Amino acid sequence: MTNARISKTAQAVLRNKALASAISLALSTNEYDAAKNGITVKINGKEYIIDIVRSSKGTEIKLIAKE
Amino acid sequence: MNIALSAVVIFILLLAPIAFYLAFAFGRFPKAGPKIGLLEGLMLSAIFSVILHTTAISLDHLEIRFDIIALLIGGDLKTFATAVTNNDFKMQLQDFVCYNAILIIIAIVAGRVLRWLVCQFGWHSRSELVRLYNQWWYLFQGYKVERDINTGAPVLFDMVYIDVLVNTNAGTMIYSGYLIDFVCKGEDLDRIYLSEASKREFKIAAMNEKGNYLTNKPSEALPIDGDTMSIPYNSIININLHFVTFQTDFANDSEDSIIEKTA
Repeated sequence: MTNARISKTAQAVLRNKALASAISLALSTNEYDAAKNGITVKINGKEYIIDIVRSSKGTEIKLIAKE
Repeated sequence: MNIALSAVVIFILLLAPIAFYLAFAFGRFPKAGPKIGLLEGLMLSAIFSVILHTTAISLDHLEIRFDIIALLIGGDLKTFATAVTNNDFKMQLQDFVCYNAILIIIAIVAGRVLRWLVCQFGWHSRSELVRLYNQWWYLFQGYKVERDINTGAPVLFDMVYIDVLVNTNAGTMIYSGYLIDFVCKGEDLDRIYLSEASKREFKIAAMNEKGNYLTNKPSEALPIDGDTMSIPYNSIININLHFVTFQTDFANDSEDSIIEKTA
């Protein structure tokens, strides 16, 4: 049981250590535009860029497939 | 004069408002209780108790032997034998216990119902009078975000990512990670637990022609091995929270498909 709010989506992300670690590293970089720093994650052999956007809704994270 | 007996009777009569307050306030991360002394607390409880008992006896049309109650509260039991017989006192005592038990049960139920209403309508985040949780709980649940602070509603997010400035023997460091749990003692934060933690130096050393100096730029983040990192609050200088939302790529998928995708 945890006291912090963690949604089911976040729990799924946390269960995948590689993905959680990559997003954590992206969030801890000095610039929010993680794509500039080239933080990528490999899912099923396909590379994705972790895109972090600061907006009025807060910190939004999405994966953008690398061409 | 029997002071102990009168104290017990008075305490029983004060129990209903105390039970109501405890039933309302009982829960995780409770706010600190009112800072009043024992005497003020008893006086306050006595005022509510008088109101409560007056309301209760106005609804109950049975005869109430105030003379016996006055004798017991007064503690002077010399005239007790002439005021009441043994059998009569037995009946009165049973009625007194039953009356107080019902009143305490009603007080507990009313306290929990009021707490439920306060939670359902979000009054606890708007009014200090009915605030239920400590201030840290409101911070970590997203109630202290500028754009929504006046609405009394928390922001929507999937999880909290935290940067904490910590004083260590090696200097000031920034520890970052997902907030997975926190522990409070009363109104005070005791410790936080981070997952996927990393650390950075708060200021990095640089050199120019005048010598070494510290720049206002943190160093690169270094991942910390391990599953969970605990940081005691007494070593934390300040905390920066990011309320993280995972966008469509995650949100549109079920939990199982995300696990499958990311495995």
